[in-house]
Amino acid sequence: MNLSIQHVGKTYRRGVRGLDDFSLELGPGVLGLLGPNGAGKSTLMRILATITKPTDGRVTWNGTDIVKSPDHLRAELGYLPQDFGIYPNLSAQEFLEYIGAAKGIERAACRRRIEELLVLVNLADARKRALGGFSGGMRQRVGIAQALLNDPKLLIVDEPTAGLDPEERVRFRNLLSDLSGERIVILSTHIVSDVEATATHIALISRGKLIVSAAPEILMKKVEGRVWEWVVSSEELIAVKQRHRVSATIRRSDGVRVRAVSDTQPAAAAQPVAPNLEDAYLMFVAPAAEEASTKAA
Amino acid sequence: MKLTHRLYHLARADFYERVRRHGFFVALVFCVYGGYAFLPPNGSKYMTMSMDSHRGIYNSAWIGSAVAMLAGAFVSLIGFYIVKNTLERDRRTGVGQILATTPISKLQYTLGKTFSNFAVLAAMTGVVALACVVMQFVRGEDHAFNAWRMFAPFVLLTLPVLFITSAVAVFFETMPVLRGGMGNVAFVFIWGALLGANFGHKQTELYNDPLGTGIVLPDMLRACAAQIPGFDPVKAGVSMGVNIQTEAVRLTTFTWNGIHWNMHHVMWRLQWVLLGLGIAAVAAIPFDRFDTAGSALKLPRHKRRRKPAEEIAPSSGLSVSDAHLTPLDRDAVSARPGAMVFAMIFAEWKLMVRGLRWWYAGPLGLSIAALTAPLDAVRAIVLPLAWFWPVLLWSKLGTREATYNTEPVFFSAPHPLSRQLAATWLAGVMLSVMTGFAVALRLSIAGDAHGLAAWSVGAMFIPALALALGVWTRSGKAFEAIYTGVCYAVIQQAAPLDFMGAVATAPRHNPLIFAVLALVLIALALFGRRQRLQN
Repeated sequence: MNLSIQHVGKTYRRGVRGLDDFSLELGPGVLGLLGPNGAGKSTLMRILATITKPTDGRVTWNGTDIVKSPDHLRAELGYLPQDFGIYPNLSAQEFLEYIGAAKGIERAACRRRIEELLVLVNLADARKRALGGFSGGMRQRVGIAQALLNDPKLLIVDEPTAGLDPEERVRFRNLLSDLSGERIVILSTHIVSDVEATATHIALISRGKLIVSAAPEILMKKVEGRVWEWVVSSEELIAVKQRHRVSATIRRSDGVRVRAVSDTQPAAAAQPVAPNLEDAYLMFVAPAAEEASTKAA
Repeated sequence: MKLTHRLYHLARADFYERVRRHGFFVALVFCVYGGYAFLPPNGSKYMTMSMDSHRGIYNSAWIGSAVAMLAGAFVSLIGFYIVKNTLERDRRTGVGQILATTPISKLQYTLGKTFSNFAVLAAMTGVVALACVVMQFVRGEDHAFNAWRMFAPFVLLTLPVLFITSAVAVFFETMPVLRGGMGNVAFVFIWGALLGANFGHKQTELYNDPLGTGIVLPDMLRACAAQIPGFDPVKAGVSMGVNIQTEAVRLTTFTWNGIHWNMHHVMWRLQWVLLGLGIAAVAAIPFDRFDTAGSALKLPRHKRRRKPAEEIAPSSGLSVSDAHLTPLDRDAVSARPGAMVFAMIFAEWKLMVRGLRWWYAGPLGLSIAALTAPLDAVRAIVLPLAWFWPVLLWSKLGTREATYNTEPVFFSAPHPLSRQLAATWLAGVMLSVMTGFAVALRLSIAGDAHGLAAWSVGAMFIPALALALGVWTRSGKAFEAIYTGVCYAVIQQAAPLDFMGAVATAPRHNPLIFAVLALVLIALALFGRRQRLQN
């Protein structure tokens, strides 16, 4: 099982680059795709989901070009888009049956699968209610169920935990981990903790370009010794934020505990601490974004 | 903040949002074409404004008045569907909820939206008017340009009727029952009754004349009678609109120097502006101020009956590891385009007729009529009615994915064209067959092979038209308006538009023409959806 993204680019009207020379090889596991707003995550997801065609490069699924033969991938694809729409007058059961037919799943098998999925996403009791009355979280769970309907080999989920409450988020993260054994899961999100909890591989993307791609532990290793914590006064905080890449601040009785990413010790009192994914994100993505802004200026 | 200031900004923002869209530019191109097409040269195979076989020379007065009336009629009809989306957009984008939390009153909002609608339609009219200036010199019958005679009719005839249209569009959007397809269909009838009925009438009471033809036409007729020997203004037939002829039209010309506008005329025209203001004010009453909480007016009855879903809290004992997900047998998923197509058609059908209850009373009653009424009446009246009844169901074909934002999910499923779009069209054909079945049975019993052929073509043509318009416009409005107009024309015995075999005098080759047209429309739908898939 292999998804190969080779020098893929997407140029929109008026020359706006959505994606630029993006290359990545993927095998089974969860790829966490992280990047700021407008980084090109959704463009990449839509290209991989065969909805948008790239203007450059090539994407192959088990050796088959997905632009030339999209249906080859579609038969094994599950996709949960960022803005997931539903038909308000259908019940969850009817909606899933409808999507099952669109995906070409034989009726009896589809019904069995829906039964299990509704239990999985905890909507078995609400299966006959109109989707129009569902809350945002419930709709999102229907979206998750439809994405898993054809037991996809490639599962693409774009901001899947948006609208879910904390408990549902944890459940969904666990589900993604459970599912990743025999398939490729691509998870795009702003929420670093979601990626931290599930991803076996992380790709950081900014301004349409792949900044870095590595296993989480390798990514963390690259930041080791560059994350610092120290306490400053409230008056000093603004100056510290201007000078350093601050990833967190916590107010305490003796001042503000600052956590920052820096190649050198930022202050005499600063102590090195164990890095986390947010630190790595800040270290790789912020300079790329700054560089692009400078070029644009 | 002053009322005028607030209204200005509300209308301005909305106006900019609309005119910066690609669709507005397309509308302006059509307006320029309208300015050109409304003024055919002698020898064309159609005529627009004429009296028997005469028309005024293309001077500023004739061009201004004739095109102003035609533009008033056409822009008010087409423009209604262009502007009737301003509240819907605020509702969809969430801007409405932001506005609802500001001190702006309901009346200010509906007035602001009316002015915004009016600005859009006025801009379109302005383009038509400018095109007319160019056309006067292109046609070259009179090179003396007179700005007052050219533009005054646009201001005094066209703009008032467009102001009413703008207000009516807002009113329709505030009324839950008229907000959707029902309103789109209803407007065709209202327009037909108010404007279409007065179209070309030589004597119209000013209080019943939104288009102002009653001011202009008698004066034109007098000028014609004074210059064309033997012309009888009482017996003369007046042609407005676009009347297609089989042969080249050669009209004799006379000189008409326009209306001497006086205060009496201006006051009569202003009454329509006041009426528009009144409609905009009345629209504030049903306007829900974007309150989405269970308004009794908001949903049709059948939807209200459905119980809203309660949030189901995750039960404490359930975790993901408790749920069993059996791997799906790969043989159960077919990659062939034709596989599961019946399941897909059935699913499309269920989606189309979901929530209908009393709706079935219509087809049932019309089926009884089809089996019992005289055959001529069945053809001429029952069939058009039977196939008009499901207009709001057909109008959803090809638009549902855009309306409910399910495109990403369905476009990433296998065979979005050969399986999904085909199933959508076939479900539409099933609806034609269901609603027209009794008529087909009656035609079979009578041994009317030609009638049956026309019926079969009609059954395929309607969903093809709906699908093509739906795919290209991503809205049901175009189909609702066009199809309503066509059905209305068929009931009025318009032979060239008879796609179903309802008009006895219709050409024998009509079924063939509409069969070809249906194929073209299906091809267009496929092409449009393909374009969308390849963005």
